[in-house]
Amino acid sequence: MTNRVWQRFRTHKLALAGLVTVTILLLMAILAPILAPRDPTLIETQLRFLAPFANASLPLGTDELGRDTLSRLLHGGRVSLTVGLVAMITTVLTGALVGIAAGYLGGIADTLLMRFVDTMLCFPQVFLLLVVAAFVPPTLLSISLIIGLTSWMEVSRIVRAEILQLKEQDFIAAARALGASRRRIMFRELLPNAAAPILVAATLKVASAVLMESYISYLGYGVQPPLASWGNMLTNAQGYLDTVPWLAILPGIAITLTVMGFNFLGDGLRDALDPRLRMDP
Amino acid sequence: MKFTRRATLGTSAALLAAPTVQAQSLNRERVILGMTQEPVQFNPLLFVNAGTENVPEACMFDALWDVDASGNFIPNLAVEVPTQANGGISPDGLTWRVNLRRDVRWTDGQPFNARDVEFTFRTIMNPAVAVRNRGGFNVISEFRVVDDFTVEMKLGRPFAPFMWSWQNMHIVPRHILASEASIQTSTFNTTPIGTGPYVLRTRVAGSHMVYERNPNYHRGAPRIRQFIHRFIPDGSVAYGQARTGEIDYLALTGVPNDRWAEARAIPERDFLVYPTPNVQFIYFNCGNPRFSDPRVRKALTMAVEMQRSLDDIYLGTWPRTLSYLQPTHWAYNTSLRDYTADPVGAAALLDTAGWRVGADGIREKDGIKLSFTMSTTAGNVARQGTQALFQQNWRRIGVAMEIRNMPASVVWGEFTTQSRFDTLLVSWDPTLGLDPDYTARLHSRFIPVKHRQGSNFVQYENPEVDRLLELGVTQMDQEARKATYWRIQEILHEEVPFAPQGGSVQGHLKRRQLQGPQPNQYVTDITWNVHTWNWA
Repeated sequence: MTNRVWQRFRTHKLALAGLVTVTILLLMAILAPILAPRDPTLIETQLRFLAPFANASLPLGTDELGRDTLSRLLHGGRVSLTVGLVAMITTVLTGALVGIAAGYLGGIADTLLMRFVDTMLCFPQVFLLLVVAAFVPPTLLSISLIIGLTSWMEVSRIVRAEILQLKEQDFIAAARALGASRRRIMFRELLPNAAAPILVAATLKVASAVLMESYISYLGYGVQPPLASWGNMLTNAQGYLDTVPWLAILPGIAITLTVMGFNFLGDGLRDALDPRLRMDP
Repeated sequence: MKFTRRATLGTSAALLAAPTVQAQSLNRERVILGMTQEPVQFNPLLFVNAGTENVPEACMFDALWDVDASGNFIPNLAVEVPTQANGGISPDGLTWRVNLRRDVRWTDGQPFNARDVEFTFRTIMNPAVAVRNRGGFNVISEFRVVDDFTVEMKLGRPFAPFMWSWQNMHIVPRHILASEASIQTSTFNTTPIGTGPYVLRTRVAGSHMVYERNPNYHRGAPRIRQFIHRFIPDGSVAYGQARTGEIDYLALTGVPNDRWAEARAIPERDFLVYPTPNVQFIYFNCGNPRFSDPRVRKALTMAVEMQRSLDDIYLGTWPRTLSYLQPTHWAYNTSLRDYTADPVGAAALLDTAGWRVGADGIREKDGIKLSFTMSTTAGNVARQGTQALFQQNWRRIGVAMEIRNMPASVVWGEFTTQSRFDTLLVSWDPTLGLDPDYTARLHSRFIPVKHRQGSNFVQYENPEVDRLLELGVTQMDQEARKATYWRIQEILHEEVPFAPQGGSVQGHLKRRQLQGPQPNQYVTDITWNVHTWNWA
């Protein structure tokens, strides 16, 4: 089966491109301390605002304090990708669990869980995030978890809707007739069939988590300066948009690549994993 | 896809902001002042957002006297500024007699008189009204209306900064407000009546306010018929509008620091440097065992590159100051010498003070490491740059500083007022007008965690400084006061409860034909003399 999934995935050109992009970005982040030519926090104000490619030892130029943009992008990638991935995993796990439980169990469980989701959705995410962040000391892990735990609600709704529709289908009735346990039906029968929307939501969450990190950094609860993240590089570049645009463009490109990479990857995975397509050669 | 859109928007914003200066024609009937913030409270006794809400105050209200750009008091509603020489102040400095002008009318036609001044004083001291400042008024032990145009005040003790109290608080109409049940919620606060040079005509919240001139203004009707105060929240958009002439004057935050050179070169525009009363400091919490020794505070100050931070991060726009006053203030101690950017001297002083470099490269003494946090408003790019530079400076002498910034409401709340910080990067102004008195921020009785009053957040205690602060407010002679405050600044320069970095200045942009606006470091807004503005 895995072989067949891979075969289908391989034919999806964009998905392959996404996989390659994501892999490269992850490798760059992991190897940042080796790859980065300089200390990303080293200030050399006499070198500030160097344009990309103007100086061989500072290939992507420098920011308003003369810090090396390439080193900051590499180290920033560690922060942003960690936040993105950890938050995405948290979101998907929580969201899928709540969605399946609510959708399959129905009744009181459904009502309670969904009203809880409604309540959570009443608060704009940024405020919810800030309230929690005010009580939890900001570390990379805590920020990621907080972002994940305040953004799972949409996923749970999507999953619940999918489950509601799936559980009426014949294969579930068959599973039940065979005496499968609730847990088995929920996690072995329903979950794989709902994988497609979950994966799509997950890839989108990576993107919004990276952005969320920059919001809360801006408000002081995220990654503290002088540490770089793509989000706070973008925020700091705001004042120089018309004079030194590459300061915004470079982290912008990094974020765009990440988001598109994950999106295509998600697309490809959905097509490859969809059990209803499993019969095709 | 959100991010691609974001990037595209960014690029198009960059294209839009590219310099396309096209002159807007000049309408001599009006003047448009642009600011990033909007006034919401027009009652001059109640507003909190100084700098912004000073504009309606200057347009619609008057004080007994104003202060000009050289720091001299000039009469407004008073016939003359009381002094000991003209007999307005008694020889012991305790009795103040003020004669009021007889030709002043409120813009609803009612005459202005001594009862209005008395009412203003009583309102300021009314505990039920949350007025913005009672400084100096609480020293008045007796207030007497002598006749319709004379008031007399007795002070409980000599108080030299008293002049600033009546410069700062403008007079409100008794005939309208005396009958109000609550001044806090009065409709007067959004539709005020004053004695000022302009009358509020229309207000579009979030956009602009239109004032018409007061033809009966006692200092002469303004020559420009209409004054428009426009709000443009985004600083770079506001700057763009000043360049194209959509607004005639850009005030408040003004031209971004990195655009000053460009702004100076714009044809048909004048670029004005406006020194604010604020000085930016590193605040050391003297109640923290790391900072209780003045030698440590001085060494930490010696290690940082203050001048470089101003040159490179504030792009040379802020003047270096070595005291809590702007270097142009009359009481500024010009004999102080800058000892910063000296890492060798700093390291030696820390060694002498017993803070030795430990195994991990961080200095320590008696088991305490010289590592601490520095906080300020999150998101302020220039301050973050300053912090990063100081962090690097300190790392070189074995001192670890971690940046921990927070939203403004959090960092300036109890975290500051209850002295919970290690160090802060903060800017403050003197507490009563621009008087050099600094009692509230320095006197040992004004430490809020110990005495529940004041703003001595650094918890600085020095009996000699206490004595000098008490002396300074009783001295009526400016030269004598100057000597006192010079000595205070000298002590602070050695003991460094806070390390001054630079004086905050704003870059304003004005249409060249507009005459009158004059930067005045003794007030917080450019409109202090709006009644004299004129088109050339």
